[in-house]
Amino acid sequence: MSILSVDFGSVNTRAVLIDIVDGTYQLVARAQTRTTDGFPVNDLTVGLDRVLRELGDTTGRTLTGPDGKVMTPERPDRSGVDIFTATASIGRPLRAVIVGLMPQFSVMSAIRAATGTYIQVTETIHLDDQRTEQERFNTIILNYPDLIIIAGGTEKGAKSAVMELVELVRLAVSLTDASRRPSVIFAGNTELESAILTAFEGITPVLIAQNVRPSLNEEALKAAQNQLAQAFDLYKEKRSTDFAAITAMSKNGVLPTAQSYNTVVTYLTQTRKHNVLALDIGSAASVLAAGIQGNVETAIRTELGLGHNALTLLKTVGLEAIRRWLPFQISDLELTNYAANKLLRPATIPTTLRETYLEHALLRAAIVALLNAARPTWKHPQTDKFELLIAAGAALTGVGNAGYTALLILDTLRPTGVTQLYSDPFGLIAALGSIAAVQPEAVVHLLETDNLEYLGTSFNLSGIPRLDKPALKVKITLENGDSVEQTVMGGHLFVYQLPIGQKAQVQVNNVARGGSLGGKRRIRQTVIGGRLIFDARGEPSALSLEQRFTQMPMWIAEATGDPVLPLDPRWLEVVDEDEDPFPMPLGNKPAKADHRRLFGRSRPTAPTTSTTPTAPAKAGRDELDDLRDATLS
Amino acid sequence: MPHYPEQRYVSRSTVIRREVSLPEEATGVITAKESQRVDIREVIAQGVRPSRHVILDVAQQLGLRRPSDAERFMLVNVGDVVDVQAIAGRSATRGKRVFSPVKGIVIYIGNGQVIIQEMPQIIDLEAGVRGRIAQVIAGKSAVIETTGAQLQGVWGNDRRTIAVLRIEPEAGIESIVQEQLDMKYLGAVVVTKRSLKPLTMSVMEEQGIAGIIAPSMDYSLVEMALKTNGAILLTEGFGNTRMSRPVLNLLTEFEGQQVTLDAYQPRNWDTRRPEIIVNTTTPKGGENPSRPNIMLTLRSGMNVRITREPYTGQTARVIDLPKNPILLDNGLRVPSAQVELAGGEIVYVPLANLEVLGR
Repeated sequence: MSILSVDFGSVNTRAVLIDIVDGTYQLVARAQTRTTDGFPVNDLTVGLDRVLRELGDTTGRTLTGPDGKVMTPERPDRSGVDIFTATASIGRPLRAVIVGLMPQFSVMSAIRAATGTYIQVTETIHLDDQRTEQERFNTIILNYPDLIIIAGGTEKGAKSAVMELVELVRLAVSLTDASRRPSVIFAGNTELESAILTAFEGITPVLIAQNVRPSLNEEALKAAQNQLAQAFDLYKEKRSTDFAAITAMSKNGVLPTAQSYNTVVTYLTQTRKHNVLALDIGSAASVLAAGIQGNVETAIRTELGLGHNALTLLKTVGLEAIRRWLPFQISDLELTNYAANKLLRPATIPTTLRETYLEHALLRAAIVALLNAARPTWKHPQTDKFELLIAAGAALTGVGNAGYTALLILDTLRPTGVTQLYSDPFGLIAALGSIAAVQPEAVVHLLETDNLEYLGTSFNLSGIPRLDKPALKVKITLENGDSVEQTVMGGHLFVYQLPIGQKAQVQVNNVARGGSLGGKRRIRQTVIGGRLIFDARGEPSALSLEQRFTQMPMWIAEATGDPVLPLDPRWLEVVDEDEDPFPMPLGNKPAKADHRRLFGRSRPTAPTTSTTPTAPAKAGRDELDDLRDATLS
Repeated sequence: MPHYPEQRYVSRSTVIRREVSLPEEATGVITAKESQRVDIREVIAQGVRPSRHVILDVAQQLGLRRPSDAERFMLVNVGDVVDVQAIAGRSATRGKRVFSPVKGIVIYIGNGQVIIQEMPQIIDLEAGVRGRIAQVIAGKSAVIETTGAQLQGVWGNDRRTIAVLRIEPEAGIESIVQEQLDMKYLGAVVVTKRSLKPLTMSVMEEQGIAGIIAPSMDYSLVEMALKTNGAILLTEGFGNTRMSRPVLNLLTEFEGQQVTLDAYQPRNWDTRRPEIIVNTTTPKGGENPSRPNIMLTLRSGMNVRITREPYTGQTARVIDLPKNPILLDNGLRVPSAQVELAGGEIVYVPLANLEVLGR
């Protein structure tokens, strides 16, 4: 049975073709192109057509019919596919108002259900909100919600209080223009279901889900999350004809990409009995799914992204959270200009060394913010021992070096003990989530045969080891009896490349004072092939600027095997902050002295590096550049 | 796989499809019809933004036992426009009455209550270009097709103006001071090659300049730009980048002509771009207007604009498109193109950092 799955991200559209090879489902081909919802195309199906053409070229199969639609089921000549599924994280999240009885019970559970998909909760209305009826009414009307989630009333519990709130919602929705009416999801006391359906009949569609708070001590989010996914699909379908066309082709509509993370992590944590953490830092939104002792919590942050949401990320985490990951001085202005330019051109990639550190500082800060926000929702919030970490998103997986990706993960997630690191550069997790509902066997095969990219196994020392003093003693014994011994100094990484398929016995002893290897002094582990990373750095974000200046380039070199790329010592000089990062109110015309300051001095520009060894460093444009341009135009 | 590059139009003669939309939160009607010819200032859609509502409990205020009794005392009907006046009572002039505290529209009467929507903000949407309505999306937008010059920018302050295009004086916009007022800049859209400064915006306000097209400005000036009355459009980005040569050349070519400056402010979830449109009746230089090519792939020989440091804004020619990712000097290994800069320098630039400017 052949399966085609496509994921529509804000920047990239990715497709995977899965088929049975030698009795098991395998990833046969993959393709990627830019998402085509912008100028000059403005049609997602064009991007779909492009990735399908590429898959066709790679495999020799025709996947679309004369009408341009995906052919299902597969024909005898192997054209078409049996199953087509789609996921999406594109576009604005749904704006939702949550209505419930008590903020700490039904409202909180509804908020937690909403974190499973791309929903921005703009307001909550409840009995304790101190608002008048008129204020509640205006809250609904003026927030322009796409969706209203009504929760409240435990099973066999409150009814009249819920119905009073429902009546207000009904009135507000009925008085909204028909073209803009929000859908309603009811996930409260099941005894009220028919009353709710009656109340909104002929006004707006209602989706009914199991009560998110059946009792004060019990929470049931799954059914509500499924209905929220359906609401997401309905909303997108209603808003664009191309999205509707894709929904019509797909076996189970277009599911939110984030739900796939939940599905895959649930499978991995329950079958392997491991703690699993998967994260996807996208251009517009970020997802973190944590499977701890069989419980899975998925969090979506629609304000944390490295492209469309770079500026919102900066405002959310604050400038200092970014500076903590930079090995140089930087003005507020340079930081905000950088993030604002990412918003304007979200798909672009840094090419100078300085901007690369900036980009990765934003990435690291986003991961830390995502993790910090998610932790309190975990049943075991202090967990830092994860046997499996999976990273996705172009900024993490697109650096072109597995060691570099591993370093970025380790810097921020700081697992303890032994951890296997994977990345998902092809969007396989998104596909598996949508396939799980229609062909679960395929998901099992694909996850059990390591179709994700294996980055390596890391042995992580927690604590803060002393710089350049012995921290880890490593002994790697190969199958032929040869062994490699290495002392890893505090503040350093040691990477050993074990040939593919080769088995080895690894013994790691912690010799740092106060350090720990996942609560142990010594670890023995059998590993098979791949990169072995021994991380004796302690807490990277706790370093001073001067320490980061010397150590960060070294870490990258140690992780990637590339030479150290030294930083310009002038980058440590305190930045002239005479340019005011804060706005000047209109009408406050600068005095003459200001005039001279604004136009009489030039700001020192940061040194940059060229992108080829032959290209001289360019500090900025000059008049000659214009002449050069003129010759081309 | 072929690479489909980012396209940001800087074209002197193209077929422009311009979608004019009501704000997302507004409701309204598209008054223009398909195939209709429209002029720049013509209103093609009207809508209203939802406003605050006032709920008046008439039954309670009149001391009625049953809410349904209130219906008998209503002095207004649904749809009535009311000022600060009596809306319920035995008489409009005497006795116990309920007054509307606002000017608005009665949108609901029932259950003993009256709901009044404060007068909503009315939106008249102008076409912005001279052309033909190609498509109407009911209640939402209209697509106008026309031919002319199109220059897409990267940021705007959410203002729009239609005015004559002028290039700044040699000494810059800041040199247009009161005592040396040159009338040709009054009410004009002025192009500056320099990064925008607070003083530039002050001069703009004081001298009645309708709009400014600038290459860049610091992000810290955004709030100030959003408060100015004139339209501001950036062509390159935030920071201190100068205007790229093809952009300046095209703008210079249209000096003295009427332009539509739509300084749309990009939103996170929106694909619309700020732009400058010049309606041209006769194509320049005998060129036929081209349509944007949605299947355009990057090829050797193409001219591109580089969008990231250290070559931001520079134009270059594609020499080669290596199949495998290239290891850049910053340590990243990414799909790249080999390009020749104007000075003959040959460098690798990530494909993601190249824009095609159109014909």
